[in-house]
Amino acid sequence: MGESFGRAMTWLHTWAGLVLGAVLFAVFWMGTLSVFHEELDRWMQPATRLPPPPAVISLDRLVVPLAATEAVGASQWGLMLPTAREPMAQFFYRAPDGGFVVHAIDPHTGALLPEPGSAGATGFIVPFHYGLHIEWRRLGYWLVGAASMGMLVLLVSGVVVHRRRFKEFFTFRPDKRLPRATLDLHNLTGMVALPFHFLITLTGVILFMEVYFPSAADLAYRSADNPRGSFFADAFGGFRRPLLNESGELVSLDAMVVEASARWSGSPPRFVRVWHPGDANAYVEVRRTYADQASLTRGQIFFDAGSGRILHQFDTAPVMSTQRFLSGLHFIAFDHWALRWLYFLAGLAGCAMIATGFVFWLEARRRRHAGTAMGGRRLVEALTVASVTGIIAATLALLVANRLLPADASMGSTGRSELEVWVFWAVWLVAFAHASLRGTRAWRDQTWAIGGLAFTAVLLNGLTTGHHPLAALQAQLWAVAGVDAVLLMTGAAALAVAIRLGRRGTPHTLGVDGNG
Amino acid sequence: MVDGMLLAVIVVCAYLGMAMLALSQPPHWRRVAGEPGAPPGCPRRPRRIAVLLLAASLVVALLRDGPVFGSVLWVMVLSAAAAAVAVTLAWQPRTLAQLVRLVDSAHRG
Amino acid sequence: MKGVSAGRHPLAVTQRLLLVVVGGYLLSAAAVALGGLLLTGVLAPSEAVALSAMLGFILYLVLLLWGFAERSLGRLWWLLGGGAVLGQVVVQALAWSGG
Repeated sequence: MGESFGRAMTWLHTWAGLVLGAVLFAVFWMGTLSVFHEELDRWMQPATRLPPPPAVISLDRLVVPLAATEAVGASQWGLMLPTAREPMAQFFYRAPDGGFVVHAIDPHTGALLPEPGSAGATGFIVPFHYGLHIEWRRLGYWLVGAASMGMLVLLVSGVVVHRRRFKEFFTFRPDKRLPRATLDLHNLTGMVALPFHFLITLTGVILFMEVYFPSAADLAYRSADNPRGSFFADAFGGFRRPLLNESGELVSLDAMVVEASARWSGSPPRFVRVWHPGDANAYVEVRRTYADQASLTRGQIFFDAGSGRILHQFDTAPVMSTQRFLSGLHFIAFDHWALRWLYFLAGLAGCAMIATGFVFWLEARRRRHAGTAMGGRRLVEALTVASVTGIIAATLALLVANRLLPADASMGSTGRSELEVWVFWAVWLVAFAHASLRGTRAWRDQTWAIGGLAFTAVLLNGLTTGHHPLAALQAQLWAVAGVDAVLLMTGAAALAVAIRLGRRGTPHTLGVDGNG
Repeated sequence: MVDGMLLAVIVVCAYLGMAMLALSQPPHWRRVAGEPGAPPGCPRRPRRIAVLLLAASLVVALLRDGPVFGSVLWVMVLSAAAAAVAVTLAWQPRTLAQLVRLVDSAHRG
Repeated sequence: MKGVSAGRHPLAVTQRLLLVVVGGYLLSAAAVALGGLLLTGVLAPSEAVALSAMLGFILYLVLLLWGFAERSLGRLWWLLGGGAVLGQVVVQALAWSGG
């Protein structure tokens, strides 16, 4: 390996890491939490803490009467069936005014559940992970995409920069001075989880390939009226037929589901939708579950609503199957508890790698410029603190606000679920302001805040819902007990780190002994 | 139940395999053995044991979860095991002393 | 110009960043579009687009790494800047002629 190549990679690793680190940490943090988005939803939406769903659900009895009363005049309606992780069903329809309405229902009784008053993890944390909630011209997607390419560059250049460290694999010296221990942790988390980090990032951009390379479909389908739509239909499947404007009937949905399931060698459906309900040309779309396969190929079968005859069955082609498989590895929609926890841990390792990379950069500059005023470094440090401990504290504040805001909370036209999210943004902003004022001491302050918020969240959940960890275990609400357990561990870990940061050095040097 | 036991086998084999790989590196061997020197037949013997253990872990993972989930599970368990070994070496290196004895006796035997 | 680690003049770094990040993307996107079009000869169009797009991320990654390691800024101008412009012109021309 040429020396100049090594030097170029070091330069690249340092500066790309510094520039992209904040975005990457946010994406990794939110992605790590997204692994358990269903469980966080149960925690944040207590009305959905239902017992496990019935093994067999009769759509004819559960959803058809509901559609007759709730979805009058809808151009489509359907049901997202419950799963082991999502005990409620979701009834949805397109209202005559064009609006799309979703209601959670209890799959045992068909009763509509109250409005959750919270976006939950599925509505806030997951979209944050892939779009940063910047919707203007899909800028968020592009920033995440750019950061992902940067992550791949950082991983390759990191292997070049730290290549000698592979001989010291397994080395972690927490007792050493902070820069040494930080670098050890950076290398360790980077090396052990390297396959995960590389694949999760690559599959992340592949998941959105048509967003990042839109011109490919434009050119390959240039003779079509709507090139991107045609690509989508060919690649992902679909079926359309127009309204006939004559009245028609709907035969048994249950029979269609049985037939679809038989064609999927016994896999249950996840999603059923009736198009043009009531029309003679009405048809029913049935999609299979992702729970028992790694791939995100949605088996799709379309039935004629009036006769129950199969109109169209879509099978994914080989290349798209590969794309769906890679996407599925990223999405982890399948049921596999061991892998889910391992993804979570590997995601945390990624967060630790990014954070320690930041800290090492700061420490290296601090030693080099000891005693001189460094305005730039101070700004970087404030950004770093806010993007590492700040976003963690803001996320925990979101959970605390979720349990503190009254059910009917609103400010003007802002509803409860938006207020919750505003708390997140406000706390993040405060964390940045605090870090700019407090300098290096902000690390310890915010770590204390994380510990306090984590314990507060568990306490408030127990007080407001009665499901304190023991009660949740007793009621077999594993999702709630699991989120509480992770919160308690987060709190304990934060306190341990805060105490250590306080003990180990003067507040100005974050544990670097002497003047460095 | 069987699933849980098989998972435990996968994890334990991966952890011991990674520990053996660590012991094939002289600094870690010295830290665990608490004495100067290098593993007997270093570094081939611990490495050979490591390969066997890691392969056993893979085979059980494939049997438990099939080719797709099995191989993904194995890769993820390897990462976690490597991190766990690093943490053990940092805080409780002596817990791996039994493995040192195992390599020693395998050498003599 | 002696590569990024030597040529740290802000102007040189800015040029390099733009060429590699933006030029590299535009070149990759053009290659993906043209590759997809070529592959329609042997694959269904949706398959051709998917294969080309997935490979495009690898191509972009290679261009990014090479672009920051390449010493000569001139070569970057020719290959990334020139390649991106040429590729995009061809793609646009084909899209127009076909539409």
